[in-house]
Amino acid sequence: MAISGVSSDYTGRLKDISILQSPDATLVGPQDISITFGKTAKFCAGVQKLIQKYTIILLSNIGSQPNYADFGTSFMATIKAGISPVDKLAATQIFAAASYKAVTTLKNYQIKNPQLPLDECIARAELYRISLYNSFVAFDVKIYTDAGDVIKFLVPLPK
Amino acid sequence: MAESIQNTVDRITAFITQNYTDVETGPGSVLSELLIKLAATIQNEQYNRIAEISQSSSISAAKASLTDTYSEAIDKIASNYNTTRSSGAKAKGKIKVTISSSGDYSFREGFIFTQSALNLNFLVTKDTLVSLDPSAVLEEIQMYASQGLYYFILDVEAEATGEDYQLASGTVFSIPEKYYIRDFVKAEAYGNFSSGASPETDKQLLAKVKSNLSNSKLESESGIASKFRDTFAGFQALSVCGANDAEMLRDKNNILGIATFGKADVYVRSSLALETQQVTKKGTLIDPEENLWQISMLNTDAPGFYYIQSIAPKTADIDYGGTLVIKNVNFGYALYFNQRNNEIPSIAAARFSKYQTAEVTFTYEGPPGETEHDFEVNTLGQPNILEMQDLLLLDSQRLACADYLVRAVVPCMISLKINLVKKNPVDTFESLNLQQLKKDIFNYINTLPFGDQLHASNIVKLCHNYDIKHVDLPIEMTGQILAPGGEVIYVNDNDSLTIPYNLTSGVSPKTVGYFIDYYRIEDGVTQPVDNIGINIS
Repeated sequence: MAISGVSSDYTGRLKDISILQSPDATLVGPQDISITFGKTAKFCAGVQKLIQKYTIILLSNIGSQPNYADFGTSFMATIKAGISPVDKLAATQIFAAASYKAVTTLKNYQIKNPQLPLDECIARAELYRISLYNSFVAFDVKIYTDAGDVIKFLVPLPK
Repeated sequence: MAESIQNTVDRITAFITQNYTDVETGPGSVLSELLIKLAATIQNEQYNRIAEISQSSSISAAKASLTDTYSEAIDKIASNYNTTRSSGAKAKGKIKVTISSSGDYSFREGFIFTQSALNLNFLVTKDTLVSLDPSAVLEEIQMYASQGLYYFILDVEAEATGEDYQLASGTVFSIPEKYYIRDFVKAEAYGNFSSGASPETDKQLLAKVKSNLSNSKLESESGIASKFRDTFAGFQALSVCGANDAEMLRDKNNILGIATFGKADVYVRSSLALETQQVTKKGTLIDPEENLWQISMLNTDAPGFYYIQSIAPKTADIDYGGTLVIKNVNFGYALYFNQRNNEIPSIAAARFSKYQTAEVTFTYEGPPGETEHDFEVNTLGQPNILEMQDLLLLDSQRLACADYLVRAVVPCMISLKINLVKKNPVDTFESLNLQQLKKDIFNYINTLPFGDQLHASNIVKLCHNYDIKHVDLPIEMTGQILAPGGEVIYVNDNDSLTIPYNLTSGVSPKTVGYFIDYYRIEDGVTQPVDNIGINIS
C-alpha cells in the first residue's frame, strides 16, 4: 500500500507480512487490487502495519471467521449489496459505523498492550473524501495515531 | 479438561512469539487472521477430542470422580460390552382435579401442577378434553359428580427424571400462577405415582459393565440382578434366600421336614417406593342385610400386591372419599394353568408372589335390588413381579435343577419425626430449602440395601447439608413390617432401626426392605401427617 510523507526507524519493531501492496496512491481513478502476499514477500511495521490491520478488520465480513463471529464489520457486505451512486450520506454512514467497529477492535488490543509504539496505536479514523460512480466507489481515509501522525490512504476495495 | 478457543489461540500465539520474537500477532495482523485463528479452530477441536477420550476412557478417573459424571466416551466403552446407560425415567401418575361447577374443560399438553412443599412439577401428558358426556371418538375423559362438586382424573408425568418424584396417593397439588382452572377446588394424587429414575452415572454404568461381564446367567444373585436391571426399568435390588439359608423354609416342605435344596426365594425390590395398581373388578352382593359385598382378586389382577389401598364403586355420581370399609381380606394362591409353575407349599409362601390371590369383603350400600357392581380397586405393591417370575421360568433362561420363586420384598414402612433448630430466626422451611432435605431422606431410605440398618446419624448428616444450627435429638423412627404371614410387626428406635429375625413370619434382614412415602396414607386417605415430618424451631 502506498502511503507518503512518513518515514521512521522500524528497527526492533514487531513485523507483519505486507499483503496490501496496492492500490497505487499516486494514480487517479479505479485500479484492480487484490489482497495477496505479492510476488516478493515484504514485511511491514509502524503506521503501514497499523493501516493494514485497520483495513483487514474493516474489510473482513463479520461472521466469516469460525469461532470469531464478532470479528470484522458489515462494510463490504453492505457495499456489495449496492448503494446509490448519488447517496453519499448513506455511504458515509455505512463507512462510519464499520470504521468505528474496526477502530474499537484495535483500541481494545492497545489497552491490553500498553507497550505498543505510539505510531502503531490508532487514535481515530476519519473519512475525508468519498467518490461514488456507477461502477466503483472509493473511500479516502485519514488515520490519526497516538503519536500524532496523520496518514491519508485510499481504502482498497476489491472489484 | 476442555480448552476454550481463546485458550488455543493463546497457546499458539505464545508458541509463535516465543520462537519468532519479532512477529506481529495482534488482531488484524496477517498472522492472526490467516494463520493463528485458522490453526486454533482446527487444533481446538482435536485437542478437546483427545482430552475427552483421555479423560473419559480412564475408567479409574471416572470411578474416582467425586461428582456424578455422564461421559459419552464411557457410553462407547460400555457399548463394547453390550451394555447401555439407562437414561432414567419420569415418574407417572394420575391427578384428581376437583372443581365446583360442571362444564367442558380442556387441558393443553404440558399444563403444570405443582407440589409446592416439595417443589416438584408434574405435566399433563397430552391434550385432554373433559366432559360430563364424553365422546369416545374424541377420547374425551369423564367428569364425575360428587357431593355437589365435580372431579376428573388427568394423566401426568414428572417434569424431569429422578426418584424424588414418586409421590403418594392423596398428595396435594397447586396450580402455578400463570395457569388457570375455572372454579378450581383442589388437586391431589390419585394413587401412588410410579417410580422415576435418574440417568445412570458413569460409576453406575461401569458397575453394570462389570456385573454383565461376570454374570450372564441366572444362577447367582448378581446374575439375576444384572438381568433384571437390564430388562426392567426402575429395578432397584434383590436378595436371594436359598440352600442353607435360615429364611428358606419352602425346601423343607416334605414329610421329614428336612431341606431338599434346589429352591431359592428371590426377594425383589422393583421400584423405589410403592406403586399403585388399579383394576376394575366385578363385586357380588353376598349378604344383603349387612350390605356385604365380595370381590375376587385373581393372580393376574395385581400380581404380588402388598395390600388393598382402596375400593370404590365405579360410578359417575357418588364419591366415597377414600375407600369403602374393607371387612376382610383372605389371601390364597392359584397356579397358572398349562404353564410352568413354582412349588408353592402354603399361602404364606405365595404372598407377594405372582401366585397370590385374595377374596375381599367390604360393605357397600348400592341401589336397591342390585347384586353386582363394578368397583375400582387400588392396590399397593411392586411392579413387574409376574414378568420377573416368568423370566426365571423361561425354558431358555431358567436353571433346570432349581426352583426360583420371585416375591416382592417384604415392606417395612418407615415414618420419621425430625426437629431442626434454626441458625437464624428468620429462616423458613422454604429459605432453608427443606423440600430438598425431604427428597434426600426419601432417597436415602428407599435405597438402603438389604441387611442394612437405618441409622439416625445418617439422617442427621443429611440434615447438616442444610444451613441449620443443629438437629434436636432424638429422631423418632418407626417402622411397620407387613409380614407375609399376615401380621404387622412394629419396630421403633431413636438410634438405629434394625429388621428383626422372625423366620416363621418370613421376616429377616434378607427379606425386608425399607420404604418411605412423603405422606402417610390410612384407610385409603392421605393423612395431614408427613411420613418425613420435619419441624423447625
